[in-house]
Amino acid sequence: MNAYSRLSIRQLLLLMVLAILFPVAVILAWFLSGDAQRAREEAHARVRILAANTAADVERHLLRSEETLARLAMRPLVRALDPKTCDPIVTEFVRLNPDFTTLAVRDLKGKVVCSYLPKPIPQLNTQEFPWFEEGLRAGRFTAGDAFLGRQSGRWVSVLTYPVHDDAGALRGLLVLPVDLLKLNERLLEAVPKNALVTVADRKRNLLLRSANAESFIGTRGPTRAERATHGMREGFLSTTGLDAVPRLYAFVTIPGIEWRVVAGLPEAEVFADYYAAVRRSLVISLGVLLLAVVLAWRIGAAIARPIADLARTSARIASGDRGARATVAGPTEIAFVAQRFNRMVDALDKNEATVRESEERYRELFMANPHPMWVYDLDSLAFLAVNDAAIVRYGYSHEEFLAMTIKDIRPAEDVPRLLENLAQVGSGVDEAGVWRHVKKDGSVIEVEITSHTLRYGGRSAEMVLAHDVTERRRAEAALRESEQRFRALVDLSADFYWVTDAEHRFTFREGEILRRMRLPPEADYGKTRWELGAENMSDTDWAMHRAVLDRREEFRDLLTTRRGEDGRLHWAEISGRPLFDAAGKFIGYHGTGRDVTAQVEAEQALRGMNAELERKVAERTSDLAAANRELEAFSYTVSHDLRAPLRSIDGFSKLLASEHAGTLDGEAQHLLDRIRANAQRMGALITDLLELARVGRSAMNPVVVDLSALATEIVEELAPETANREVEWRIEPGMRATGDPGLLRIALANVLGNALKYTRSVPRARIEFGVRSRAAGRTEFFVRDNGVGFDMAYAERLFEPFQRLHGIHEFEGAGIGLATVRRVIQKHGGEVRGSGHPGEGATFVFTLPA
Amino acid sequence: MQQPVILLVEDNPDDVELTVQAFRSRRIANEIVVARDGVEALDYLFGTGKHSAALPPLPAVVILDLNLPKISGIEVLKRIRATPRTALLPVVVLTTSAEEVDVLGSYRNGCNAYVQKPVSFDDFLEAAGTLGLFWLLLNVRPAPE
Repeated sequence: MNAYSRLSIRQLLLLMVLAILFPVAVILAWFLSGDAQRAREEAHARVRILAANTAADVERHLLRSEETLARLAMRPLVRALDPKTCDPIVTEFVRLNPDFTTLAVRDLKGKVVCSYLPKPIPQLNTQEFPWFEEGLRAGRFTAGDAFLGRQSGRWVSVLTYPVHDDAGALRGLLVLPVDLLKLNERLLEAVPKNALVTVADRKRNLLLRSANAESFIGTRGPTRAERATHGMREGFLSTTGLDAVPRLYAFVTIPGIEWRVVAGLPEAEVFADYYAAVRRSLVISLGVLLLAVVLAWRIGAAIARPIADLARTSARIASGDRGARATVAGPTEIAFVAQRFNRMVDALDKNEATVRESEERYRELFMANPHPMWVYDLDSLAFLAVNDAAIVRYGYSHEEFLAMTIKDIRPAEDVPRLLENLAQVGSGVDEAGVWRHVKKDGSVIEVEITSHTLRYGGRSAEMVLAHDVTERRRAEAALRESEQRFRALVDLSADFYWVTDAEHRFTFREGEILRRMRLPPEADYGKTRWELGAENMSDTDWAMHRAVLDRREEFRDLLTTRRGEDGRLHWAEISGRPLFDAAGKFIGYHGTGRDVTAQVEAEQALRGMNAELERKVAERTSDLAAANRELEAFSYTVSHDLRAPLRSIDGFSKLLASEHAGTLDGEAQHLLDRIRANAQRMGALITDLLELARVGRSAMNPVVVDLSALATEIVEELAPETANREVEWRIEPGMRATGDPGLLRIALANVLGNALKYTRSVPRARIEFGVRSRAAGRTEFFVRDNGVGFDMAYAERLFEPFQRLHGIHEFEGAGIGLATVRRVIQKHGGEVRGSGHPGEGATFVFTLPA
Repeated sequence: MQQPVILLVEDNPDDVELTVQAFRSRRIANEIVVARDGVEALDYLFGTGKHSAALPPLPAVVILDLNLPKISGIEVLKRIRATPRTALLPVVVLTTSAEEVDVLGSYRNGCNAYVQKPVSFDDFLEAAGTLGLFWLLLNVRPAPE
């Protein structure tokens, strides 16, 4: 990150100001140092000039003294060194030259030869008077070091000059002490007051000093300065003197006598301009700096205040103060930002509901996802969040989940593989495949895991979606098993399985039968059925079959032929069903085929026989129909033509009896009655016969018939026959049967009529009609009487037409009533039988559909 | 006022005589015209054949047997009903048959009554007599056109 981004605007502005001022300061310093250098050089020049002038004054004065001494040394009297003849100039010299205190001539031993002083020191000890020894040794002009005069008590520098005899040998010395105080006054009087000039001898004792000379002459100079300038002949030195004034000094050494002249001026003075310039520059610089800093501060504040205000406003909004708005102030850009900020907050306010809803939706997407989902920490593997589906599916509560790691929902043996897999977790979507998970109740489910890395609560986490595939895996296993079964079925059964594509070309065929037909399954691949052809199928048949296929309908038992490799004709029944892909697009047919060669061959044989049989049946039916027609015609003839003569016999007999009663005797009347009775009996016989015939050919209209009600009606119709008789009818109520009402009436009337007829001879007749048993949709009824009964030996003959067990005079009747009953009951699929004993009554039992 | 005739269509002379006897015994004095077959009956009713010279008056009632030579009784009934003049003429079927096909056929073609000839003469007398009285004396006929 950029280091500047950590700084505030004010700091940045200050930094900028400093960055601008720094080069300015450098330039200023450069100028100032130049000024300082010049000021220093000027100061140096000033002090050096002062020193050099002083040195020149000292040197000039000494030269003059040397010249004077040289001239004296040349004087013969002086050269003579005769104490008696003392050169007068010597004695007069001091008077002439007030600068000097005395002048003496001494021989080599130091013994005074001639002196200005009346009583000079006669003999000089060279140890005590170093300047003498030095003068002798030098053999030329010397200026001695500071020396406190013995007699005068004043500080002097002793000048010496050698005195040579004529031969040039050194004979003595001219000794001329110079009063240093006086010399000081002479040479250093003109030195400015603020300046300090000193002259020191070779031992660095002060000879001259421009101020307070009396106190300092003969003393050593400042040791600090001496050390600083040791070994140097000339140079500069800044130091603070005893008067506590810092000064700049220049020092020079006078050649020959090696005196050092030091001249100093107060630094305050020599550097006055420099300091003034520096002060001015500093004041200006400081002013500029201050101005810049103040400006930077004010500008920074002008920028920072609205920004801080913006920050405070956003903080207030963040802490929930929805109404807070930034003040639009400050520089244009920032005011614009504040304006934009306010608009943004307005927009945010407006969108807040939408956003909350959206967030809720996303949360819902997680929480309400039907698949279990969770988020776990990639480092600790702890659950961080789980959705409802996970809680429901796994049985753990939300709290229990959050206290666990993802290892806890794995079977222990899967954990190593899990850890190995986790080590390879990358970023983005990960299809981790199928895993086993353990639910809280200990049951194991198989789940397909899809995961995605994400940051959750600042942690590196993984979001997991678990798709329960237990059922799918079971289904897959079941499918495999089903396929195996199917294969076994195909291999073992006589059927074969086939698949065709959308163009009805074979793509697959399998089955044991094909091997028996010696047909390789692939033999017909790529061909349609009609391309292969079938000997039993015409073009029309194929067109019809293809119409079914075009309608994508299922078809069953399409019979086709196919010749095997061995040339044998095989028959197969093909059934097929259309196949559609998941999108509903037709992709072909599949189905089974069955080898029906044996059946077809058998059927063909059977069909031949059937045709023959049918021909015969038709022949017989035709015969039968003809017979039926003849029978009907016969019945009709009987009903019309057979009865007409009977009616005539009866009618004319009656007419004969009534019209010719006078001519007929009693016997004749009796015979006519016999004729009429026979004619009428034959009419009844014909009626019964016709009824029997009608029962045989009449159509059935079965409905539910209330037999109890029907029997009651019949009994009422029979009432005329029961006149003068005591008859007890017992008819069970609620009896029902399914049958033709007309036929059932005929049957019931015959049975009940018979019972009434054969109980005629019984004083108290009792006739019962009831249900004997009910079973399997059939009801067994009985009609029992207490009449004359019959012999069981003839039980079967009862139901044959025209069979009578009693004489015609005993009981009238044609003997076809029970035959008619049996015909009716048989037509209803039932049976009828009778039982009894002579004199003990009879029971007739018949069954009818319930 | 001359009494209207009764047209008896019957091929069996025995039955004709018995029927006449039956009517007489019931004191029915109307003239009985006998047609021996269907053709004769139609000739009488429509004034064709031997009756083409003069159209006889309509009978009070037609007693019609079904089993007739030449044209069957059912056919005669159909023609009577198909002709406007005779459409409302009372026709009583008197026949030996009790077959359903005959009964239904007669009523479908518009007979006014169907009576089976009993074998017993006593019964026949009863039936024929009652029948004659009803149609000749009691029944109110629409006025002739």
